[in-house]
Amino acid sequence: MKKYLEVALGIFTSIGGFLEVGAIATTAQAGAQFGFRLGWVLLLGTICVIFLVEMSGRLSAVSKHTLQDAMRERFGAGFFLVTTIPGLIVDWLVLAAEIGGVALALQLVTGIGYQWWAFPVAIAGWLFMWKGSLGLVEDGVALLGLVALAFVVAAVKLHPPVPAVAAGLLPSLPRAEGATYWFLAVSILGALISPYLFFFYSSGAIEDQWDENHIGSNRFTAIVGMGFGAVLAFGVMLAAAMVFHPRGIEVERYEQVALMLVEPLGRPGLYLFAAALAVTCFGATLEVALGRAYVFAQGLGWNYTLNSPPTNSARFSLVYTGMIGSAAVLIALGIDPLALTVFSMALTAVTLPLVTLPFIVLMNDPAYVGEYRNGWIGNAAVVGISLLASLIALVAIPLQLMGG
Amino acid sequence: MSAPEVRAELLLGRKVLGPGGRVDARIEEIVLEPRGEDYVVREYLSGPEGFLEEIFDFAAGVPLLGSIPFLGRRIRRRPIQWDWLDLSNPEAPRLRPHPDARG
Amino acid sequence: MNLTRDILDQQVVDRTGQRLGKVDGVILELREGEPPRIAAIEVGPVTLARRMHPRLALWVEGWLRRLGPKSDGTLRIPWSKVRAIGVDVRVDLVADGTAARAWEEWLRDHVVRRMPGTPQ
Repeated sequence: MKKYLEVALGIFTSIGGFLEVGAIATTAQAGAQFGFRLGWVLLLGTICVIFLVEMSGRLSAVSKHTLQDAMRERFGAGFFLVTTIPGLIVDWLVLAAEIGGVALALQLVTGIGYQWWAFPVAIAGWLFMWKGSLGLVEDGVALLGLVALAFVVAAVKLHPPVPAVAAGLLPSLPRAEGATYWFLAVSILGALISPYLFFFYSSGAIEDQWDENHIGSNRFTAIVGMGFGAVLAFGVMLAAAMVFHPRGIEVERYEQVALMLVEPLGRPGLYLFAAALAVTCFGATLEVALGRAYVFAQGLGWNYTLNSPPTNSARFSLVYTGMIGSAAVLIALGIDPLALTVFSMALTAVTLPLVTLPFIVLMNDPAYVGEYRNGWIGNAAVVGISLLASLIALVAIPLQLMGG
Repeated sequence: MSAPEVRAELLLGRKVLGPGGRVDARIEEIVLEPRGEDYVVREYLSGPEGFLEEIFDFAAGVPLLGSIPFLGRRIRRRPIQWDWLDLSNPEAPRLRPHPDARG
Repeated sequence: MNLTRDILDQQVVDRTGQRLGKVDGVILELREGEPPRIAAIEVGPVTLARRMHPRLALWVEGWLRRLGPKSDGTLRIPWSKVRAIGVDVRVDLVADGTAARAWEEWLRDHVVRRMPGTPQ
C-alpha cells in the first residue's frame, strides 16, 4: 500500500507538468472567450497525458531505463542529438516562462515588479534542487499545490450550469472566431502534453527504484495524479467561463485572471490565486530544469541523482544550475511572461511528435517492456496520440500567427 | 595498436560500393559471433535505400501498421558475409566479387 | 549479437555499479584472412561528436583539451575488460580517475565544492 503513497510523484508531476503557467493562461482564455465549449480539449489532453505517463512509468519500471536512456539506446546517438538540441532550447524558454509565472504571482501580492523577482525565484528553486532530495521536491510541491484546489472551490461556488458544462465535454465546431478557437485548442493541448513531463516522470520512477511490482501503482498514479491536475485545470476554465464570458471580457493580463477567484471568494481570492500560480509555476520550474538535466545526463551516460549530494553528480547538478540561472535572465530583462508563455507553448507543440513516436516502438519491444507490452488499446492510443501530435505540430505556428 | 583498426560506429550507415563502383546498399548492422575469447564479425546487414523504403521498413515493424498488406512488405536482403567486404579504405567499403554476392 | 542493437549507445557501468558513460564507439581490428574482431569500446564526447561530423569532433576536442582538466574525456576500454552485455555493458574497471571521469571530477572539485551550501 505504501506504493500508492507514491502517488505523490504523480500529483507533483501533475502540478508542475499539467497545471502550470501555460495551462492556466490557455484554459482561462478559453473559458473567457468560449465559455464551456472547449472542455472537450481539456478532456482529450488529459486522456493523452494519462496514456503517455502510464507508458513512461511502465517502461522505466520494467526496463530499469528511463525514457531518454531508451531513446538513445534504441534509436542511436544521431536521434538523441537531433531531438535534444531543439528540445533544450524550447524547454529553456518554457523554464523562463514558469519563473515568470512565479514572479508575476509575487508582483500581484507585493506590487514589486516581476523583473525583480526573477533571480530570487531562481535561487529558491536552485536551493530546493541542490539541498533537497527528489522526495522532498515531490512531496513538498504536491502538498503546497493543494492550494490550487481554490480554483475548484471557486468554480463550484459560481454554480456553473451542469448541462452546458457537460455539452462542452463533447467536441464541437466553433460558431464564430474559428481561428482563435482552434488556436486555443492547440495551445491547451500544447500546454498540457509537455515532453518534460514524461522525461521527468520516467526519471522519478528510476530514482524511486520502481520495478515490475509497481506496474499497478504506476497505473493508479498516472490516472489519479493526472486526473487531479485535470480537475484543477477544469476548475480554472469553469471559473473563467462564469466570471468573464457573460461579460465578454477577454483575458489579457494576469491581474485580470485573478478576478476569477476574487468574485466568488472575495479578497482572499486574490491571495489564493497568487499562491496557486506561484506554487504550480514553482513546481514546473523544478520539473523543467530537472527534466532537461536528466535528459542530458541520461543521453550522455553521466551519473545523475537528486537523492545524494551534488558532489556525486557534478555535471548533472551544473546543468540544472546553468539552466535555471540563464532562464531567469530573460525574465529579469523584462520579457513579458505571458507572451513568452504563449510562444513557448507553440514551440513545445512542434517538438511533441519526436517524443510520442518513439513510444510506438519502445512499448512493443520485449527487450524494454518484457511481457508488459502494449495491448491493442495502448497501441491504438499511442498511434492516435502521435497523429494528433503531428497535426498539432503542423498547425501550431500558423495558427499562432493567425489567431494568437 | 599495431593492427589496422576501423571505427564501427562510423562504418554503420556508410554506402557499400559494388564491384562496378555502383552504390549497392548501406551498412545498417554488424552481426557478431563468439570465437574463443573474442567476438568477431560474421556478417553485415544492409538496410533500406531511399526515404520510401525506410518508411515501409519502419511501418512493417509497428504492430498495428504492419498488418496492413500494402505497408507491411519488407525487402529481404541477403547478409554480406565478412569476407565479401573490402575495408582497406574504411570510408568507401567495397563489395568483393563473389559468386553469391549481389552484383 | 548485433553491434547497434546490443553494444553501441548502451550504458556502460563499472565494477562498482557507477555509470561511466554510453558506448559512443566500437573499435574493430582488421586481420588478414580472419574476420575483424572487436578490440575495444570507446566512451567520450569526441567519439560521439565524430559520428555527427569530423570537424565537430575536432572542435569539441580542442575546447576540452584547453579547459578544465585539459582532457578530451575519451576512454578506450579493451574488449577483454567487458564482463557482460545485457541491460547495461558491465566493465571490469573502476571509473574513478579514468579519462571518462576527468570532467566530472574536475567540475566537482573546482566548481561544485566551491558553491555556497555544499557539504564538503
